[in-house]
Amino acid sequence: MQDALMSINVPFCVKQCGYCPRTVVEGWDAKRLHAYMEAVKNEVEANASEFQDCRVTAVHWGGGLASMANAQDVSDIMGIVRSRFHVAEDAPVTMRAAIANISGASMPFFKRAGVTRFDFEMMSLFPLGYSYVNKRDSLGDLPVVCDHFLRSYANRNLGIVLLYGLDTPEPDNFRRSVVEFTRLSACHLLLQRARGPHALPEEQAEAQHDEARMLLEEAGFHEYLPRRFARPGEEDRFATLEAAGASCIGFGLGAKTRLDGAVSTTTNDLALYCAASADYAAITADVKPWQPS
Amino acid sequence: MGEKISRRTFLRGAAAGTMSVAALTALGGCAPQGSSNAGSGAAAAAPNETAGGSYDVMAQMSSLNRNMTEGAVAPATPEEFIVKMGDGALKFAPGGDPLGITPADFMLNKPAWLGDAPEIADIAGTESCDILVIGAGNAGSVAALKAQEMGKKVILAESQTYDEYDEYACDMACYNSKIFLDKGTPEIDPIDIMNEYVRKALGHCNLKIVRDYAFRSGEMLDWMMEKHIPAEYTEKYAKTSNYKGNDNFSGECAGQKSFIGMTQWRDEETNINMWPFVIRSLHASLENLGGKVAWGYQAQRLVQGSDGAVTGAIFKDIDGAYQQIDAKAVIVAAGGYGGNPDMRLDLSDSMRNLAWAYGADRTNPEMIGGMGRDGSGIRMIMWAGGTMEAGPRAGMSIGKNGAPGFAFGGAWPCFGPEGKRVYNESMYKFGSNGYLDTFPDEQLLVNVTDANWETYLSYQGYGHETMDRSSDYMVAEVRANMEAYKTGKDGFPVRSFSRFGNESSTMWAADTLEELADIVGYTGEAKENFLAEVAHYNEMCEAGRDEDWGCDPQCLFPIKDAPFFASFGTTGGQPSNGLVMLSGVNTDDNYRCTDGSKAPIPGLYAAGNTCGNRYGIQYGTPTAGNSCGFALTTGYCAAEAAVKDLG
Repeated sequence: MQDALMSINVPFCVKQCGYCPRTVVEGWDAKRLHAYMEAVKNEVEANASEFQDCRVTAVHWGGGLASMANAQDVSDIMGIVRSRFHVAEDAPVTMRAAIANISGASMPFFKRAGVTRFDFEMMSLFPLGYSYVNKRDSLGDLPVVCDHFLRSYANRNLGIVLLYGLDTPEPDNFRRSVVEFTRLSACHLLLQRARGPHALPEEQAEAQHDEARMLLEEAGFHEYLPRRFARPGEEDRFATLEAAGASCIGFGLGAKTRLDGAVSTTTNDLALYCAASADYAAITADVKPWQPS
Repeated sequence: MGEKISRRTFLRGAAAGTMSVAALTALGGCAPQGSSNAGSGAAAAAPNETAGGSYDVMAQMSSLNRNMTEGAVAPATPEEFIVKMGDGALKFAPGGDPLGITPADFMLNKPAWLGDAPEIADIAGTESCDILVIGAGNAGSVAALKAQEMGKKVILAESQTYDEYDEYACDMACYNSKIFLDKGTPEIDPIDIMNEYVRKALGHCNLKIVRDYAFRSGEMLDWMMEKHIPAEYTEKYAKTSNYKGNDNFSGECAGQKSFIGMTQWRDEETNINMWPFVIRSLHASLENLGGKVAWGYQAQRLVQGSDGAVTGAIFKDIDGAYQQIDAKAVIVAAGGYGGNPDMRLDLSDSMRNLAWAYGADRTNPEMIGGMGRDGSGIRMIMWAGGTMEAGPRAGMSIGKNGAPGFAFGGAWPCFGPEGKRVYNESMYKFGSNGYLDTFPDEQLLVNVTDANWETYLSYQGYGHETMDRSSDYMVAEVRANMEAYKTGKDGFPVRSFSRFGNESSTMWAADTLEELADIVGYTGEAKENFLAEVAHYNEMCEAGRDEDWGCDPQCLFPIKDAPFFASFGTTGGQPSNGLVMLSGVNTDDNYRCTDGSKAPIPGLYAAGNTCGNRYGIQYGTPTAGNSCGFALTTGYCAAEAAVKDLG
């Protein structure tokens, strides 16, 4: 039995922000997204028997704003993963998420799916400048989501993604945003580098990164991977092992599977993927040798 | 076409350099895929684009009076206008039916989110009861227990399993409960309460349902606590907010009344909201009385007899099997639709129109936030012939911009980007921020106060925009944090100022107003304006009259004694409906769901957020926690109504 990570891609976003480098399918279409999740389900089921010698040590839902997916679909897929794969009992399940997707309708299913930490793409936590970087969530909803759904004051299930390196009218806002983060009960922070026409030059962006590091270290966090901060003992297992070059089974659009000395990449063609996700040969877009660390 | 190989064999072959994607073509017989960067371009080719059921009303409307009426001539005189209109002011124009649509298309077209009731044939098991309650949230749990206690055989069906069960509620407003009266809280005239809620709804509410809440919510809370919630839980966790009354509040501010009555269930040590656990006492009590909770039962549709009467419901259990529960009456308490983006986009018309008015993407439900349930209860009722409450439909907050400083409503003046006050702080209550929505985005808003901050807050009422005083330990923490203030641009955290227990708010402090202006970011003319505006404001406080914005005189407090404090806010951001939607299906006075002819559907009742016409056009908080209190009370009263109908 060999250890492996599992990544499940949901590369969707209603509207891609100008600073975001991800490749995503844009637009709101519940039917399309459900059809995609059905396809992921089919791919997971069809390939389960192939990975019986693997023990999954961490699961990550990402590739886009994964929480956009119907939570029941997420729960169903995790049910298949747990029943058809060898999943370590303590395997964390992390998800790139938006607080806009957390509700009384979705949360029971995310819980059933066993999501252990949401990384909310808030991008800023300071009221001034917030709407420049977050066009989706209401900042005022964050405490409501925490208190009513996450119970994050007691649990270790809150992560935050903040944007840095963006040219904004008030540069102090980034620092203040990081200070706000240190006052949350969150255990995990990811700094996402802004890209695009309004991105700051590297030197200025790194100065922000350095300032954030100082503030976060004062608050008891440490940078265990570049731009990833956690309280000691709360380091993200998936990110840590992935950075170390661990094997990974990938499902979904654009997913990468690194195993057996090769890395294969699944197609980014949504129509093809939805039509033939159970046929790995049809959806494999690229494969090349890979040397595990 | 070659023989297929396994995925693992393929990977190993690739590692050895003997396998490639091109080889897959031969082996798998599938079209080769180049390394694709289709990305968003792939969206265009995506399957299942939403089409069925959608209806582009705006495209239709855009043709109205857009150069499509041949010979149209504008009237030049009043007489010409009267002649033109005289043959029927309701007609579009002589000889024209430019839209070509009928009311059935426009108003009654079946929305995509509604779909059709699923046809289910393979029922694995059937059981029966007198009253079936769907949804074990606040309203459903109370409804089931009350009906069982009144002698009916009840099944309470809940989609979550027993182990997974969670529930959300925080503040709980119930009036004239013994838990308040026994502490010396003055009794409130329920007529005042009822009329305040009706006034806030501008009459767009069911007066009987509002009356039930005003007159019976305290009775309901007493019933729960005296008969069904263990005394140790009440003693340990039930925190009664402001039970002594705020020292200086007159009972009314800017013409809006406010009442004592909010309870929170919190553990002091951990600050955990305990209600999701305490409510399990109601389920235990139901079972002790002979009722049943069907955990993991996800409702699929209602069952109706040939006469249209509702006689039960079909559920999917956690194994995927369909289970039918027959009943003489069904109370649907499955929550609202805030967690269903498609329903939100269609039904949350107040917030939607606000978002659209300011340029939001009309196809994007995420532009209109919401956190409630999935709307399945409402859909089931509508499949059975029920109707949705008319708009404008209220969410828990209505407005794109919240007044800054959630806890400081009315008591601390608010200054805008030019350093001047920008509105009547005593008028802007939670859920009524329309004026602020007209402001451009990203405008600075700052609440400012001074060393007398707590005295000023003692003039506040009991709404959501006020300081949370539900526990003495919270008030003590606020005082301690404020005493330990730090000056500077990073501010300092204050816990428990606002709702949600020990949530941290950030405050900023300075020893002079000039320093505070610098911290806030006022420079040049804005700083001069700010300092002059404070002086002007202090003069108005002295005179007891705010001719600029009309702030209630009891809320005019000078800013004069150091240290000075500020709380930041900003305009803009996404409109959010908040925790729940407050519109639901139409019912009669006895919680019986009504059809399009306003006749009750036999055997079908609604409670909680499934039940409409509680708030009419807008949410308001004469007391924080009224949504939860309302939900609980509708469950209590709907159960009574159903039991009475069954005889």
